[in-house]
Amino acid sequence: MIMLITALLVSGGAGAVLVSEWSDAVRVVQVNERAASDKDQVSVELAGDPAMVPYNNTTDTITLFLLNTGEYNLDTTDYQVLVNGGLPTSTTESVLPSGTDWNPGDILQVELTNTSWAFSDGEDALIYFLGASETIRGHTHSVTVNAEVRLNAFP
Amino acid sequence: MGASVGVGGLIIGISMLVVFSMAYQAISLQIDSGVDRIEEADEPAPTFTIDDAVIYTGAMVDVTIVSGGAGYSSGGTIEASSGTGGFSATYTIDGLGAITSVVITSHGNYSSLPTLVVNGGGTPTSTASLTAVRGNVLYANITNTGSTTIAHDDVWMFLDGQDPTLFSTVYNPPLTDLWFSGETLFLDWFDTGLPGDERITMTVGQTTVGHRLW
Repeated sequence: MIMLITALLVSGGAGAVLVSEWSDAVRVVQVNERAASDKDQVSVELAGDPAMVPYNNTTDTITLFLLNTGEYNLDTTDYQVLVNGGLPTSTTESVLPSGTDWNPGDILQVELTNTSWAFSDGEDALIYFLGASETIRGHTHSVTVNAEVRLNAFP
Repeated sequence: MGASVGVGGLIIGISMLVVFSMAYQAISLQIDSGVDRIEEADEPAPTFTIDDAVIYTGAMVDVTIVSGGAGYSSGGTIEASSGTGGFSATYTIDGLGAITSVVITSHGNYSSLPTLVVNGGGTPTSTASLTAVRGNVLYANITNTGSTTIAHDDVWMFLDGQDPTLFSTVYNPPLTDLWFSGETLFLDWFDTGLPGDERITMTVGQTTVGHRLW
């Protein structure tokens, strides 16, 4: 009788611990699975005419339009743009059609300035954009755009 | 002997319950993630074409009613007395037969500002004074060649790569604000705000299509 009770207690306790640990493991896997799934839903694309990207050759400013093509908001401040591998000296941004949140379907208009740029009309440039989503279930996800565009210079 | 068999049976039973519980959780996770994947499966990328696009820089984009006149009857049209640009408009009148509003039905294209006259509007007792306003009009036919339905709010338009404009703000849908597969829409976008545009570009999601303006 003693052995029976002891065996039941031991196996019951071990089973409870095992199930609890397994539940934790499943929960962790589920969280990571959701994070991976959310990342698939975060994306951005270069919008507008890649053959006529506005370049003001008086102020040396390139204007880019980036469309949030994902399902989640993107961060309007946490981004970086490289033009031919170089950083602009200043950037300003605004959300179109309006507002401050870069919602899905909205465009972020980014104006990049670097007075050392001396592009000519019709010159091609490599654009690399690295941005981030707002926090989704405790995670932020990066988005990138890599494109070669033709600059349309105007004074 | 009987007690040993009983103990062994209980231990095996509990062990099987534990295994069943773990298997259940694992299967639940698989089902959850599978359902999530199905729900989040990407729709096919939108595809569309700009069949043709033309811009008239001498179009009549508005009519200013300087004086509505009097004695007009309804049913007439407003046309240009000079030039061959093809302007045409309809009007509404008040109780005195004065023209109160004008709706342009054909913007036309003129190298200089034409004089406007009312045709078929009865015998006015006082002639209306109407002034045309010149501007740009862009005409385009666009076709949804993909299998997805596109909301007008999801379409961005650019002229010469600038001034992003939502399609829904310049297109008056005759029925709904959805662009169905195989449907061709006729865009009549006047007063684009930019002179001498060379290209129109439309972006929907990851798809961008450009077309030269003639």
